[in-house]
Amino acid sequence: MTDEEKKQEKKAQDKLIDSGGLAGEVSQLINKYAGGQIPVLVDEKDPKNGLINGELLKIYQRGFAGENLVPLGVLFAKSTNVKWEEGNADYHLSEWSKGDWTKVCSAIRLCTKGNKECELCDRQWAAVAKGHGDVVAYMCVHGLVDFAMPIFVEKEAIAVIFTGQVAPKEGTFWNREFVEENGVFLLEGCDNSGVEARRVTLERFGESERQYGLKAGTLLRKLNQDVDANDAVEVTPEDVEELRNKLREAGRHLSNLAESTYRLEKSKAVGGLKSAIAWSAAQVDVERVAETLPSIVEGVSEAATLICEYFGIDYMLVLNIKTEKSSFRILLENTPEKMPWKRGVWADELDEESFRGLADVVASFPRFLADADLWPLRKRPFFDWVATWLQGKQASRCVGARLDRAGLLPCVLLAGRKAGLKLSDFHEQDKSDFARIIEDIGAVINIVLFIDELRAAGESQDVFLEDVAHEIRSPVQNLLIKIERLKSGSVQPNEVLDEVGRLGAQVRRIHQLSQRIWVLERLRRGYSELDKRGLVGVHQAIMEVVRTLDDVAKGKNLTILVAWQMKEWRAIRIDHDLFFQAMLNLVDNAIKYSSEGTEIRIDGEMKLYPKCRISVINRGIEIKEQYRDNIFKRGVRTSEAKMHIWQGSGIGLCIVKAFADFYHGDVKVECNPIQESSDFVTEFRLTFTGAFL
Amino acid sequence: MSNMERKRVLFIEDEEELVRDLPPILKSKGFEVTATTDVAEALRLFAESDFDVVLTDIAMPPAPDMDGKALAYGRETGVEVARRLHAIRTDIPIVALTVIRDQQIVSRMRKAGIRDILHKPQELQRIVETLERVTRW
Repeated sequence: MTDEEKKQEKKAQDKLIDSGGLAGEVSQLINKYAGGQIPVLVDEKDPKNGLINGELLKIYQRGFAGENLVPLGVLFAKSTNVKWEEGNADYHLSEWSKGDWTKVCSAIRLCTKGNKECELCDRQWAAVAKGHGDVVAYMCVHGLVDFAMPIFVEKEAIAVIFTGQVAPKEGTFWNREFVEENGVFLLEGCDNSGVEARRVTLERFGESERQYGLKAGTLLRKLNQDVDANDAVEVTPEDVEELRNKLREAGRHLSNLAESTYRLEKSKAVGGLKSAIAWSAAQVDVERVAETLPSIVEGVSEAATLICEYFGIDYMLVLNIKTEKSSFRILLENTPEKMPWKRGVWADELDEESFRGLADVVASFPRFLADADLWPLRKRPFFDWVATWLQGKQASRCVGARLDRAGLLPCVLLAGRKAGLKLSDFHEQDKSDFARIIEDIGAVINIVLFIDELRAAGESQDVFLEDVAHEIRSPVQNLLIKIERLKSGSVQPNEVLDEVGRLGAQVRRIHQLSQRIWVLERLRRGYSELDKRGLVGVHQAIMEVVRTLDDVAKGKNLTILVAWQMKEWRAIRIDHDLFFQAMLNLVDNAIKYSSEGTEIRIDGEMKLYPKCRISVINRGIEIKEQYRDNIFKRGVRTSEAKMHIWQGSGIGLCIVKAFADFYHGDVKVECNPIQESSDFVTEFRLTFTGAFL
Repeated sequence: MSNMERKRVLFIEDEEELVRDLPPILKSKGFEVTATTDVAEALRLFAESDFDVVLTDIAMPPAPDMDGKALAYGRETGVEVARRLHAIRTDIPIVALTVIRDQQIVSRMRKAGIRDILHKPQELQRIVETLERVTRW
């Protein structure tokens, strides 16, 4: 940088600082801590060289040395609520006490509108930032924040760096909000407590390894290396030999896995989930698989490194076997033009022009290795993951390939050949080793995915059985005691009828449970079990439900109203028993949670496809938003919904969901407060499709 | 058992039918029973009155001041109840009447000071015998 340039830069800094705004103040702080190396907070003309993409990373690396975390963003806050002692105005992060943390976290809370909503989106508490000890700060940065650490404090200004991963809010690519021109979020007047805040996004580096249980430090080391080192790494014969040894070792592991894979797939295919669980539990040494994976990943990673190095490819997306090529294309098509990686291509579809473009890649960009990027695919939807990952990498061009069919290496070779690159100096055996190991990783991923599925299914089944057992034992206990009471003669003759009625209620409770379990079992067995010929008059079936539950509703002085228009609906082909049970559960649920003396409304509409929508609306207790998804899940042990909707096992709503899924529909719940009342209006909206006669 | 010897039982149970049916039977067996379906009320009653034994369910809706998540959304409410009761008085025996069989939860129940665990469904005779045994001293 020439003297003149330095002067200009200083002038720009002064301008910011002189502006008296928080940006200037923070810029001053950053300059102080970064040794005056940071030109400006944000250089709109050249954002890549400003704080966001450059210097703050170095600060991060210095501050987080040894921490296996990925920087996510920085929050700068000016809070009148945080008072620092005179003479000790700035703290290095290591000097922060728990008290300091509490103050800072309080300031962060204030920046998030009184613990309610994120300023940047419509989520409530979308993220939780954990500090030292018990200190927890809540704020939304459109995703999960693992950790928060302050980097600067001066008087009333605070800077907290957040680390973790960024999950796009929704959709198929990341939020525009996150990638605004200068990457700065201005949070003006975010509350009325004297707090101003500006949040600055920081370059994100893809996934946190820690988040996905990968070996510690790899990504960070890589980042450290690549910040300063743009030189190509020379691949020596020793490197190749070492790699080959690793590949052989990985190959041995893989052969051990092959048999297990075969058994797993076979059992999954022929026996259904239940037998698969039993079979795999007996046949698969899960621990052994877990031990094997790291070495396989390492071997494949190194193979990928060499391939990337040889062909000069910046980024190699090693995609999950389930990833569809069309998904990759959609990702690219949805990428804004300004995104540098717009020109990513699917390897075996590259046209000549694109391959020439690929050659540019070789010349223009530093090498990166996708070493740690295989496993996040297990955890995240493809789009989210790729978007975040590429954003973090600042990828310009990339090559995508699936692991199935031809495998990655042939795609890459094809890409290289078309691009006019010189072909490999490796021996054919080397290529073969690469190809095999990269293909095999797909099998390993599948094993891991399947084991995850099995574990989840097994756990879910355990919880479900426990719920069922719970639901049976309670009424049986009630019956036992009731019988004892009757036997004891303490029941007066005029009370006997009532007691018998109560006994009946307990028996019906058990009967209802058995019905629900049977319905779920029929659904599990699939389409062949259902009545495909029966025609159901929806209105008739609903009236049948209403009659069945009439006594229960009267017990709470509830009125059930069914929309008269439903009488005009045409009969449709759906399984009567299943529909009846689903509706019974919905109405029964509404009765349970309605306030006494209120109305339950059943309404709906039918379209000609035919597609039906039935709403069951009641007035009563609130189902909090965060619990609304869980109430339809089967065997969710930690369903907070069950704390609020305590009665019953929750199986009833599982059946409603299963019915909706089976008939290509859905069930949603909405819950809105009623003004000047503690009650809420809850609407369960069931949609499904059937067939006309 | 004469009135003077009647043992006072605090019965905490969210199954309304059981709260309705069990106390009169226990009364006929010589116990004086205070029953409630409300955990918060149970804690208040325990603090305000003298009981010889507590008979409590485990899986119940937690009290408002309890960390529902930490209590597995109510599955372990009785454990926290026992812990709090034990913090007030360690000499009052606590008996659980529960459907829970999970060994980890059972272990936490023991650590919280629950002396005896009766698994539902349980015969009345066994419930009575247990209450008599733990209140003998």
